[in-house]
Amino acid sequence: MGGAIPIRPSLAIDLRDLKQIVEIDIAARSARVQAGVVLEALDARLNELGYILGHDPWTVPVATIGGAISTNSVGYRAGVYGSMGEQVLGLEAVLPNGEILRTRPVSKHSAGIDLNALLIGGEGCFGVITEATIRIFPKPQARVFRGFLFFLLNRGSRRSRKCFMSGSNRRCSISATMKKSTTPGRCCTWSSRATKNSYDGSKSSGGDLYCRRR
Amino acid sequence: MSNIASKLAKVIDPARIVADSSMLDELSWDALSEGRMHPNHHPELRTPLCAVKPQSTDEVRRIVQFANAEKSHWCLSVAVQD
Repeated sequence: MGGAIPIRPSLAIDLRDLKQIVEIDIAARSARVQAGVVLEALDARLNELGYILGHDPWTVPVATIGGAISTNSVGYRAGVYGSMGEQVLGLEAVLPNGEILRTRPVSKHSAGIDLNALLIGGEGCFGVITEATIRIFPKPQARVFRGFLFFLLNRGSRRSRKCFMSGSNRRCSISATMKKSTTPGRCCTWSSRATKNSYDGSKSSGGDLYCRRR
Repeated sequence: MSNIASKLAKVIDPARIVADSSMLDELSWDALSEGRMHPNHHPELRTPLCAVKPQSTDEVRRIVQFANAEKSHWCLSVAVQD
């Protein structure tokens, strides 16, 4: 889900059989995987080595690396680790003319154009991503998730801003559920407002304390 | 096998080509966007003519080149999951 939909007679390329974890480089803190690798499978493999994948959308049991990059997906821990696109170091993709593009898997591009940006969130328009080198992160000592319901969206927003300003390991994001609007011309309306707060870090930093209501 | 599938079978292993209607239906809509689309701007969806499941980058390259050669008849759609 969250992908391209066919509006013309088309040929669909299903990349779920490209499911090989090619290499996990602990020293470089990166993993090179094929596009069809499911997020949950990669995260489980990384957990065995004491590392995690920084991307965790609710579709983690079915979402693939290629799909997450093509939609620049955001997960629950995006406040800490960033969107899927921010975790991409290098890509391999087949361009529309059939050429194969391979970008260098480096964390910083000191000069030139970052071609990864052309493909991240591109929904396949500029090429078919076949392989990616992505960042991996040490497994945190503590992890806490909390949710708070607010009656007004802007109150939740204000609280989120306070969280971001209060510490480097303290992150939260706003999530709201939507329902179909009964007002003509409006697609949907907010039905509830909740902040989802996540903490990844050391036990001594007090994740539990941070997540309590205050 | 549809016309496109039989042509595609000349450039890639036929075992990778999917013409099963339930599988094609799965690839023809987006569960996430479905409830978010504006009721007056809902695009008309088309079931793919066929799907193909490559197992290597080279197979993807051959599929893209095939689609380019036949682009007057269909477009390329990329199945992604988020």
